[in-house]
Amino acid sequence: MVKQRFHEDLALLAVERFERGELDRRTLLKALGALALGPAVLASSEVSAQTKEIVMVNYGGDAVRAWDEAWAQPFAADAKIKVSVIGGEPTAGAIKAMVESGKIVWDAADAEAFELAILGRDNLIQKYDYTKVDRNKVRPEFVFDHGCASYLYSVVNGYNAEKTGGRIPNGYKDFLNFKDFPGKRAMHKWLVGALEAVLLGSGVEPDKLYPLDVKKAFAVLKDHKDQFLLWGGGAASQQLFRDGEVVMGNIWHTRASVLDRESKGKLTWTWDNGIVAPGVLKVPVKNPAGPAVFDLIASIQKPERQIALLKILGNSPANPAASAMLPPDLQKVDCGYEPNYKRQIPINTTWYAENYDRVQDDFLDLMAS
Amino acid sequence: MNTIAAKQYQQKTHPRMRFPTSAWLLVLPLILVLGVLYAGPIASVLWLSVTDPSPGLGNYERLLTSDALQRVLWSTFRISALTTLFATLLGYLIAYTMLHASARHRHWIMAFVLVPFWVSVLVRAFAWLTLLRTEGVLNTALVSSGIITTPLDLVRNEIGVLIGMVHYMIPYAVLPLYANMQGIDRRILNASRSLGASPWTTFIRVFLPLSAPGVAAAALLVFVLALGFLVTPAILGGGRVVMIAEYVRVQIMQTVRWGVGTMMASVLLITVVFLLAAMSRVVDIRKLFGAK
Repeated sequence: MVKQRFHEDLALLAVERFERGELDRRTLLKALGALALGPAVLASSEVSAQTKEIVMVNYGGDAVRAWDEAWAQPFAADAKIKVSVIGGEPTAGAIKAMVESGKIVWDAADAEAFELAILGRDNLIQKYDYTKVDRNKVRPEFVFDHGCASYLYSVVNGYNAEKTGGRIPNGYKDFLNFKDFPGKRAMHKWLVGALEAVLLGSGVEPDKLYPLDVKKAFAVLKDHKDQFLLWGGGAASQQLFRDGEVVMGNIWHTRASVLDRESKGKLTWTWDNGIVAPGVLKVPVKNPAGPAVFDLIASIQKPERQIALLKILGNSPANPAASAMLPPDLQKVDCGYEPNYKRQIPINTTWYAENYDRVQDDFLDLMAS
Repeated sequence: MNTIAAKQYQQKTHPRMRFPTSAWLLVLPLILVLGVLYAGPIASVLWLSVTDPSPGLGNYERLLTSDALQRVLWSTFRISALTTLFATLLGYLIAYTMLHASARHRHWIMAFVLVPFWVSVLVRAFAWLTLLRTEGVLNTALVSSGIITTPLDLVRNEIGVLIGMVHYMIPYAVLPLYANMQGIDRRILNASRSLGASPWTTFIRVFLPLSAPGVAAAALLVFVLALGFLVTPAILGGGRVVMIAEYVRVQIMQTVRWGVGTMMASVLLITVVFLLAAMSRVVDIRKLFGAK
């Protein structure tokens, strides 16, 4: 499965190069043919290593174009190094598979911060070169050995204002308030923000949220299990709100702002109690482009490139200086903008690094039992 | 040809007895490709399941101690069994109808069986979601027509998974059943009727037993395929239903517990191999999968 996806990535890469005019049609078809007919042929050739090229990978969709326009193209123009952005599924497992296969074709991949500790422990990713990347351009809570935030996102409480009768939930404190807000709740399947919402909803104070009281959260979940609809990806979460299946629920702020815009405020969100998490670029060991990848990551920290991503994709700047420069319409959708940030809670990455695998499995088991 | 000669002829042509070396050479490239691209990776999955994170049978031991793993296994088998039951039953009805329909009707029925067969499993899962969700087509129609007052929970639970899986599996049940039924000699049925049996008795005592190999083949095919289902339970189960394939995916991609993930994958593999071995005593597996 991993291999399959990996080949799809390479195919995408080839197609993108074709679209940019770097490959002619014949070469493209040849490349695609090689992928379908002879994986072994491909595995033996170093696809991206010969050229001075940096390959960035994220989870696909609009993010490919956004990273390309906001980050890749400006860097490529300055540094004269080609940067390719491709879509895939660069989970921790995919990185492990790639590194252990010895055929590493990614230089930087989208990651949750807590993956860094897990992958770093097994020497699957590199420590950041902080002589190039400036740790002072990121909030200290989002700087780690194996990476620092390149962008921020928040898992906020979104709600359907029509169904709540215009009432605004008090952050996640009303997450379990089924009396005033009857209806189902959207719930993040991949844990970030899920237990937080439940605990805050059952009366835990924000400053005592971490370490998460898993036992308590699970007990609450068990009591109201039928009230939660799990979503695994951003599109699915949007669909739950659009279809009117949920009255509120945790959702990425990027998706919440899209819903707000398209529904003219009918589907919206509150910053209160949002769980702010860093998006990090993890760098696999022996990445093909070598140390140049850290020049790219450093260039991403520039305020204008941080703001460009916010404009195109909605991901918030990790650099507070960028948030301070925003016009009012963008301040509204930036989880890192100081007045918004103060209403939210930064995620505790250490807790996730230590507990993620176990609690994630238990969480899925609980929801399925 | 007398019986002895027939027996000798059979022995001569039996593939295991007489498979010339040149034929082996012809399939050698394929065997090599399968070895490298198929057997190799499977061996490494089996190997990982006893070596990661530490050598031994620790991962398999979890099967005995972990309620969660047992639940995943149990729901996988339960859902697969129910899917098999419904798909085979519905498939039997369709195949039986096809057998007795006019040629033109038969073609239409076949088309309706086969066309969904070509639609992507992902598209079908989302289509069911659209139809069955709380404010979906079906519930909206039922509520607005006053038949029910609160929407039915038809999706994001086991019912939804079953609907999606049965729908997906029906062609797999129809095809072997229809092939089998076509091979049943109609004169036997006529003989039964002419000897005074009612249509019902003829069906129960004559047709049904004769179609039993088809039922076994269809059920086996559906059950084995259902065990490994990923997309349908993941989408229509809405997190409420976790089957083996989804569990393995989470362990490999998300939580990076490869030992547990490969162990579960191995359990699935071993189960299927045992199932096929057991069923090969009842039905001709080679025929079932078109090898004969």
